Amino acid sequence: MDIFANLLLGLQTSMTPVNLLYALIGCFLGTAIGVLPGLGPAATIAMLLPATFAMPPVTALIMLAGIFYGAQYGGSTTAILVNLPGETSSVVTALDGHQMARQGKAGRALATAALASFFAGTVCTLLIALFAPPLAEVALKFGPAEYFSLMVLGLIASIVLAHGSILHALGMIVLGLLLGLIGTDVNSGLQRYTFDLPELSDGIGFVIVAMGMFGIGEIVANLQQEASRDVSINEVKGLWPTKQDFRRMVAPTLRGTALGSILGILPGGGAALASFGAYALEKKVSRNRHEFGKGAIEGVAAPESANNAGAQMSFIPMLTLGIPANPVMALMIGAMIIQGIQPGPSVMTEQPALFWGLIASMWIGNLMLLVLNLPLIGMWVKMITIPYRYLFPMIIVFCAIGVFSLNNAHFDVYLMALFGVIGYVFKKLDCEPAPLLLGFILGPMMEEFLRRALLLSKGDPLVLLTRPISAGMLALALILLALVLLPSFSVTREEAFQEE
Amino acid sequence: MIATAASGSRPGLAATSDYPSKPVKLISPYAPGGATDIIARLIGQRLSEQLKAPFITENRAGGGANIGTEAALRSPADGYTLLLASTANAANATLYPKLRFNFLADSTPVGSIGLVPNILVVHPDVPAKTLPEFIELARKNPGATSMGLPGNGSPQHLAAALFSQMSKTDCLFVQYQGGGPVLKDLIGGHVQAGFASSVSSTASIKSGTLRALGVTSAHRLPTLPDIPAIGEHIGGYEATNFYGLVAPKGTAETIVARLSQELNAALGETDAISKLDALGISPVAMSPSAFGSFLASETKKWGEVIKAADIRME
Repeated sequence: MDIFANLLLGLQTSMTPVNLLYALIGCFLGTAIGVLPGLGPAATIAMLLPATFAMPPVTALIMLAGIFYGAQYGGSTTAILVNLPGETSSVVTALDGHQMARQGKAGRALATAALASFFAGTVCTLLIALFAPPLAEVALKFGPAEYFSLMVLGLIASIVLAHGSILHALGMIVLGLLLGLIGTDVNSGLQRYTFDLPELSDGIGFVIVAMGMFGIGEIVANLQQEASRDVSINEVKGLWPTKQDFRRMVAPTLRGTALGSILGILPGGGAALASFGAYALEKKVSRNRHEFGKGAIEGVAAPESANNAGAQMSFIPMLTLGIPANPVMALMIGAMIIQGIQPGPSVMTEQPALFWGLIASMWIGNLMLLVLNLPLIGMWVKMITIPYRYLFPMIIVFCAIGVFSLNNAHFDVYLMALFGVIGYVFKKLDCEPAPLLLGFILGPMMEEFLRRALLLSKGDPLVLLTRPISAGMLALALILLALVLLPSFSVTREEAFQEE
Repeated sequence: MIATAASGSRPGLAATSDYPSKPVKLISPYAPGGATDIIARLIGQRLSEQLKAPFITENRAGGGANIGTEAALRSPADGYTLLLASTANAANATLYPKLRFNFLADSTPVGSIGLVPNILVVHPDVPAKTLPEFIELARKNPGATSMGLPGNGSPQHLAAALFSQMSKTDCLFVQYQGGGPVLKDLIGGHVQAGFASSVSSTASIKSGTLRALGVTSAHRLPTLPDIPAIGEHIGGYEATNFYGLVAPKGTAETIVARLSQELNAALGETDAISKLDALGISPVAMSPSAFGSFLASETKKWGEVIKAADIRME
């Protein structure tokens, strides 16, 4: 079969000393920026882009790709240790991962995240190698109607995902939707809730809201209860997951990988939706669902495998169609163009060494990240043994730097501080930020896709039901909704959320 | 207007003779990764080498390029802040009624970098094989032919608006957030037609997943010699995106002259030409005053198109 010849060519390309070195540099850099809150792969790759001008194309792409998936590994570290998700995809990892850290299981949570990510990365490398062109076709089948229905499904799933009061969760989702409305309307160009501030005309950035609500809000809340926090940290031991942990990890990792792979090939929202969806799914099917939100290992394994699968699969539309699925892929396309490579369907046939070399490097990079991360877990865990009074100013500084670096704008830093206050108030009110963030991300996309679907169907809403994929997803959403509303289910749900 | 801007040189001659003596900031008013950003970095690297001082690209994205533009034009006119200007700057003067600056009056033109054409593409299932067939199809079914565009007020939207005004067609404009999603829905057949940049669409055209009907430049493209210029059928039609450098108003004439000389030298180098070519840019060198008149004429042209099509951003 051709595939072996192709993979062999890829391995030959990616295993040259230079390419291995740059893969390692990329992975290391990626992990580092993933650990630093707010400083994401997009900003880093943009800064490094000029440095890649002088490299051979495949070396440049291998390094940039390493930064991207390296950041997925690193992002979970801060999410688990200090409850600070730097990227959309690590929001849900923070929910259970940080609880585990608080219970002295930080090492096990980090190892779980790394192993689940590695597994997903390996599977997806194979999937890309085997099925890239046909999978790209699947992504093309998704038109506005399908996307809208997918978002509805995601939003319903997020209600299932919320802890505690359903009313609180609904309120937070609606608030997230409203915040998401801020900005310029795509169709008419009208500004909504921008108060004539040009800084608001593109809407509020996700990182700003997440950093403010999770990061700053959490820090302020923690300052009130410093004592209890330090106690838990002194008992950090057992970096390696136990046999029982492994048993609990397997199924969630498999399900997370599958869901992440499917959602990852869809341009836009893929990796984020994947991790939210995987978490919601686990919470439905897991035998240990009563532990969710209190440090369930499934709650780390599922979203971590899903977001890594999603990140990896987002290379498919980029490599096979030349269509960027997210800002990082847009930068990769920019890097290719600078190197004189026209991204698109022809890359695979005209540049086989580059195409397969990049794919093979992904697996090598994932392996490097595992080797890099497992021994370093001790070091990361030490990070939370630093007394909080030293840690929190550092976190605030990194958040500020990270947020500022996105757009070089002071305004964004002030906005983050404002969301910090809001986050603190919500914490006091027992309202969770996760549903708000999901509403914030999905709301504007839902609106955009719904309006586009209706525009193209001349205002006929039946388009959502006559297209089979769209109808299927709406049906699934309806079933989920029924489950939430059914009396027998809501009883179990309340039991599941009852405080001990 | 350009002459008065240049003669009002505030920094003394002593400061300009050793220009540049420190890093020069080149503001790209878009997010990293897009065409504008890549052009800024390419040109910045060239100028760094020629002028022996670092040129640092600073991305100040947002507000439809207005945030970065305002930041650049409000900077000291000492030659150490430049703006990568593009078609958006010419269009925004009309699109945004409440701008806190006047692009033409508050800037000093330095020089043009190049032009990027757009291509009118359709999904292969669309029955129209040629531009006249497409125009006929669109005229027969007013409001029914869907056309994907990368955002309200974008250069492609302007190209499409000018096209419908001059061809007397009425297509259904469907706006997206950027060119990538437009391309995806075009290839997937969810929208029928679209104006896409030559950079992003050429590969799909060559592989047959999209059909090109016409290019928006005045002449055919060397990379796609079989595709007619839209102007061959609709006399006078031209809608290319431009890129160039401007400085804040009042930048010393000597500095502008020095920058213009080095920029034009860079545009003549084979390496720079091939790199710009890969981005779909045909390099065009202009003197500061020629670029100034070009900016004024583009601003006027797009202002009229925007008003006629009633495109709003407010």
